[in-house]
Amino acid sequence: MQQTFDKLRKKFHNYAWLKSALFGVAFGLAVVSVLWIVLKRNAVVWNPIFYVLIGIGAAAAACVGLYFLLRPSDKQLAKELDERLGQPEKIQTMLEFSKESGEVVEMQRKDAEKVLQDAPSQALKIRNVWHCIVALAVAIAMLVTAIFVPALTKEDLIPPEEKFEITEWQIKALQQLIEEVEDSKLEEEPKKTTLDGLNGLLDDLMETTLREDMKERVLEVIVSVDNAVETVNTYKPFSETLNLSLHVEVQRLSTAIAALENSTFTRIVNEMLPYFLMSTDFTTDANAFADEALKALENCTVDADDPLYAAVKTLAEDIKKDANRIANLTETMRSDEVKKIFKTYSNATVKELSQQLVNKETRDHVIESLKDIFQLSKSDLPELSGDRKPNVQSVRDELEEDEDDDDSFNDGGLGDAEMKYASDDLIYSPDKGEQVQYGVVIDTYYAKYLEMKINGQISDEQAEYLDAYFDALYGTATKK
Amino acid sequence: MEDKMMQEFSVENKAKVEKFSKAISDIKTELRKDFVGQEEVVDNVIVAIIAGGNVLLEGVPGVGKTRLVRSLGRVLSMSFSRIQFTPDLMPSDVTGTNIVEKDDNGKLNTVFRRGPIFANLVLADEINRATPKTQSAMLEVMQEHKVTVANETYKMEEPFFVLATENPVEQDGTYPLPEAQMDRFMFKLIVKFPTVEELKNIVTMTQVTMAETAETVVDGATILEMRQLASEVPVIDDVLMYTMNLISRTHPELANTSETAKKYIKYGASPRAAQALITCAKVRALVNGKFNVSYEDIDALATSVLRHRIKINYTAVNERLTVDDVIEKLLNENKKLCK
Repeated sequence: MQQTFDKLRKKFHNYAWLKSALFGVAFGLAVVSVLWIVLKRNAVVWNPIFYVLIGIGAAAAACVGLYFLLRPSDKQLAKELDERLGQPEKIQTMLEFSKESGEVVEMQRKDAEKVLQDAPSQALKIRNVWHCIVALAVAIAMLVTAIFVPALTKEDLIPPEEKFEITEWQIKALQQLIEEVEDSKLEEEPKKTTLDGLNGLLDDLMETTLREDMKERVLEVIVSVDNAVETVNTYKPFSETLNLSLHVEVQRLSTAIAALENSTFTRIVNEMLPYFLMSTDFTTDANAFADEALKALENCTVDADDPLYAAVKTLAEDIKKDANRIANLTETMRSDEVKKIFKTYSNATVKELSQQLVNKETRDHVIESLKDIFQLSKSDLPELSGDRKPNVQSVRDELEEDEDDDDSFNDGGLGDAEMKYASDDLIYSPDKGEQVQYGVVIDTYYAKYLEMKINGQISDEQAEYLDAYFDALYGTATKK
Repeated sequence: MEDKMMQEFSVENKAKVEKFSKAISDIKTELRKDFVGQEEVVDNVIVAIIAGGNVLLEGVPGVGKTRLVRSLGRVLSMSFSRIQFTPDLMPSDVTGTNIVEKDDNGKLNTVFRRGPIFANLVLADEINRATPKTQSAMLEVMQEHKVTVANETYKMEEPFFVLATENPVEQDGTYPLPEAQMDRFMFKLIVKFPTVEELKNIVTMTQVTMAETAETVVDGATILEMRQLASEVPVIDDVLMYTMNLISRTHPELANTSETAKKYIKYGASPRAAQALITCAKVRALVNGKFNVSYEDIDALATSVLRHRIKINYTAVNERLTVDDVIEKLLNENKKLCK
């Protein structure tokens, strides 16, 4: 009796297989397309065989899964047939009462069977195939899109703000910096280290593509320059060692050395003279100073052949050697002798301090330039030894006359504040080629003056005048 | 041999169904001779008779309620009686009573004199005019198909069918049937005022003769056979559940009630409504030449079955909704949920 229904069941199950297969293929294509697009846009390259395998797998899984969803149960099939054939609940009744007996039930069953047998083929055709076709079309469109979507490389994935490519300007600025270092009076060892670092940096940055890598490289150079200069600049450890002495004048001497600047050094050393010239017991006072100075030298970490060390040692030994003789001189002659001893000391020390000042300023210039060229902020830099101020107590008192500084000297390092000058007057800077505040160039001019003085290009009388001039300028140009 | 038996069985069944269809067709044809219009009322009355239920007809005077029942009685070759209910009608006037009679020998005997209720087809005219006591006597017979008088039980001859009428216009001095009693009627049918065309046909027909000319085409035994055949019509589980849900959702106090019931219904339909609906749906299916009950059969009969079994609340009255409107909402809601 249910033969026709059984045939129809098979037919509709086949329809379910067909639709499942079409949807499955569409799903497989869609999965492959999405995967391909995602991997392309993430610069990942796969062997095409993987795509094929994944596509087949996805299609097969979808096909089987969808078959069980789309395959109608007998009840669902009966309901659908009733709807298609316009027979309210006829086939459903036939199915539900297939095992029942009775006059009317038999009639109903026969009637339903006849309806199925006489059903027009048009009414039993597969329906809603267009769903599958649309799905397939969408999947094919996705595949075509995936084919034509451009693949990104790893470099493309780097956010623009993280990329780096050295510009022409940066190359020129770096080359100019290298020239400036070559032309500078920086000591030989740190100069070699600096030049090697800068040249190596230039070569490396030509091939650097990431900003992080660039920063790392630049910081390497900065640290190496800083270390190279700090190795040869002994004024800090030397002055800190002298500062440990209990003798006030030895401490004063340490303050003078820690100041590094010639004018301040000279001024402070001159302030030591009254100790000797006003002394009522020259021999004792002079020997006390000399002994304390020599004692401080014994504990010094700086090499004995260091010029600053040698100068202080010579000073102490000369004073000690001539203390008795000088004590017996007249006041005027005593003053001349003391001044002569200190002058000898000053000349030797100033020469060395000037060199160390040039070292420091060149180091500062290299670091500042690198920061400017590669747009590094203060927070990008590590703590640098060169930024640390000498830990000399007396220095703070002295320097506070020139500086109106709230920073702790023990902290050292670069300050955060902006460089301000007491005057807004502008003068032309040959280095920058533009009008700048005069405080910006004062250090350059002072360094130049010191260089000329050391080289004997300026007479004593001129030097005295210029010392007073720069003292006055530094006194006005308040650095904050 | 088995195939031959099956074939014979099929031929016999087919003959039964053909006889059923012919009987229905003949009944309608004959009724048309005496009764114009009211297609739905006629169809439903025929369904109720075959299903074995009673019908309550409501309509204004003169729309043909009594004529329909009389014609029906003639067509179905069933004994017919008419009871005109009045406020002074006693129960014994309906059921009958024992009287004392002298036999031929002069001996006094108690004899039960049957009341007008003892007929196959009874027209209870203006049943709401009788007192509740008389109504209850009537309704008891309708339910149990038997009368008990002085401890003697007298069974009604089957098929037994009561068509009661109510006049919705004259409510003064009436005793409206309580809901519990209304439940015993399978259908409540509204006999509407005829259309202009129908009115014209009525006047034309009655100008010729007022007499009813319909002829007998079916007898009581045939009706019983038809009833038996109809009872075998299969109903699938989904249609059964659809019906049960429909009835259940008329009760606002139940958890699975409908929004319509919550809003508009005071009392829902009893389980008798479900029985009536399924029984009548089977008959309707067979009347329409189908061998199974469908949703459409349930929807077509729902209003007539539920109309007198549901009590709408004041909200519905306030919104000018009739009980038919509320039943339509219930049907729509049930279709959305169950189909």
